[in-house]
Amino acid sequence: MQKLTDVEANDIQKKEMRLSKIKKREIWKTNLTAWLFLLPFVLLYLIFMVYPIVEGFIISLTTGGFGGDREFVGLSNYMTMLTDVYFWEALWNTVLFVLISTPSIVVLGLLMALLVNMGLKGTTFIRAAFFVPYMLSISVMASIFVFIFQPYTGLLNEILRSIGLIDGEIFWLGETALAWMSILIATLWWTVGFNMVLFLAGLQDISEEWYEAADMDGANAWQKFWHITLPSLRGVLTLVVILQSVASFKLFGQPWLMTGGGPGTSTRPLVQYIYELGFRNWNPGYASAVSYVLFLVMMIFAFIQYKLLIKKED
Amino acid sequence: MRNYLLALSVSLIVVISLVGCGAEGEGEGSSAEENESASQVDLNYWVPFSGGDGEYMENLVGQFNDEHEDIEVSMLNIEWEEYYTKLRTAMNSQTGPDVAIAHASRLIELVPGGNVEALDELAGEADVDWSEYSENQIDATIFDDAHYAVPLDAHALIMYYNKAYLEEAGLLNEDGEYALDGGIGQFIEDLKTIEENVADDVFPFVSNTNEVYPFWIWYTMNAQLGGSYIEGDEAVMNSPEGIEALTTMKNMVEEDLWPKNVTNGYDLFRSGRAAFNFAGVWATGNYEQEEGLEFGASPIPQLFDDSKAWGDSHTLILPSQDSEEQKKAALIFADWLADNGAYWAQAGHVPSKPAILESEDYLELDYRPGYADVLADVEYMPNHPALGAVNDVMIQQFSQVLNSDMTPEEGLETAERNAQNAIEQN
Repeated sequence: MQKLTDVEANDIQKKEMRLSKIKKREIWKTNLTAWLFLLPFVLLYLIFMVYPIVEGFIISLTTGGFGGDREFVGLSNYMTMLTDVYFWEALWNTVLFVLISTPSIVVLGLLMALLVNMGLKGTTFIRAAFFVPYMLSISVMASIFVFIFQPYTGLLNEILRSIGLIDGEIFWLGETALAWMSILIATLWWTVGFNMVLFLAGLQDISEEWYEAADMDGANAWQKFWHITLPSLRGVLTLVVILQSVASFKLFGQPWLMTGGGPGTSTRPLVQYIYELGFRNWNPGYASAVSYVLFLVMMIFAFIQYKLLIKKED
Repeated sequence: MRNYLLALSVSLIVVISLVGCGAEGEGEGSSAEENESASQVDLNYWVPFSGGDGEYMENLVGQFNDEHEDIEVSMLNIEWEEYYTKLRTAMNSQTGPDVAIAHASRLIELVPGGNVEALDELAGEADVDWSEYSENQIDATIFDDAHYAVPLDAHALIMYYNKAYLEEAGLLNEDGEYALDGGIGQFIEDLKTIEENVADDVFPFVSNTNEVYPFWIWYTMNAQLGGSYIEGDEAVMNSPEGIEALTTMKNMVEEDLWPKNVTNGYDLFRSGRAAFNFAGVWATGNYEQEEGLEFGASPIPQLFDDSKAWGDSHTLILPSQDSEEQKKAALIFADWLADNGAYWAQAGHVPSKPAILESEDYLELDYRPGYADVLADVEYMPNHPALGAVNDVMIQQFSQVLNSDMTPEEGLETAERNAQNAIEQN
């Protein structure tokens, strides 16, 4: 009896083991299937993303031109950065742009979404008009704004002169503060439509019933916005703020095409400085080192934002 | 098992089709070429002609393609400011064009990388005779006793003036020309005369105060003053001469004789908004196309001690490539362009073959025959591998001096320091 049970128990155990083996194999098989489906992406990701990131770091520790021999110099490129006034200027320019552009784009995008969401007459047209600029390439967008802002032959000064507001010239692209404003206006016009669409999707997810309930309680429009709309949009808001500040950190095309980073270097952002160091001055080592600093700054910035905005949600 | 096989085959298909994209494209291209004509050679040709001379080159390329059934050249015109960045990067990754324009002053950056073909052996095959070219231009293309480039033209900064406005201000002589006698002092006086006597919306002087123009003008004035630029491995532009040249320019801006923040100097002069303009010879063809614009063109007058001017020369190089046929075709093309210099001269450039300079086609052109003499006064830029980087520094600083509160002294001090850095990093 005892023996039998032993055998039985053994049997059960074996069965269980076999079962778990089968299970393991199943899991392994499912995993393998998943991995095989992922394989094309993983391969491309490794080749075009991970490899350059690693290689870029290695290059940032060396000196020498493209193609030629590279000499290992340790952290000396990073040390150079500490005393490079142009690096600090470009870093500040980039941070400045993030600080002025992110709130303006978020607020304007939200306002435009609210307007479109009110269901007024002609909404379809307005929605399309708000979104269309986003479909233009950056070079087309920049050409339009250069045509508007340039001195002597530009549209804006011409209009201002014809209605008698100004007498001479305003150098929209030639004075630092005005140049930043011009870049900001161009960027707003160009990208705010996309953020509007994100907000709009968020707005349309909010249940009508809440507003009805609020109406019953006698809430006014402001109270409804503050206590229903805004809290419901927190997820979208987090997304938009993070996406927008990452995009603003990558600023390059607008100043490059509109002001060339000028006057002088006063609107030159970090990415333009990296480009010039790498491809004009032929100094890929230093350019890579500056890229890594930008990467680090963006990581820290995104992390802080994420923590702050997520915390609120909890 | 079935799932596993399915997954494997799906991902294999995806990978293969992705890899296939590139290979298939290339395969199709070359077989199509073979079908079209057994021996047609396709040449990619890059040029930096954004100053109004691009269309003349485009016409020349079209004419070449019509005359040569076995060679098809396709031209890509790239913004001057971006040109060398693109060309060097492409050449380094072996994706450069088959034939490209390079300024003589930039050859020293391009040739030592080993990415430019030496031309001596090929020259025999393509029937290129170096002795047909002007000697000093050929000299600039020789490195280690080998030819590396085919000279196309020479060009310089010159002066344009709007005859109607100068007439109005009484500044033309009996021949209807402007001849400055009395140096920079008189020139400034003449600009003031324009300001007082000609309509308010006409600027006495215009040239870009951004980008490369201030550098060319400064380089011209600095050379006229006897100043130097790079000596050996030393940046030496922060000299009394350099400061005087930049101060002269800054004063023109401060006295409202030369407007600030100009990026479209050509258009302003062309559309009759300015009386005087310093621009390259290549703007001639552009200005001639404007009906109703009557202008004169002459060398930059002697403003200081010497008559000197900034100048350079265009050459054609062959970025490294494997196919002997391509190389030969590219060289035939380059030599043909030089032979047709009389048409290229319509843009304003001075052809590189002396025989062309004496040809009727060239001599009967307006203005251009006089340009050949300007070349005697050209002060070429020093031969240094960091020249491009140093020039970039100047361009940046000078636009700041002219358009902001920065003084010429500050600007040149920073410029020299940054230039020295650029030289040392090279």
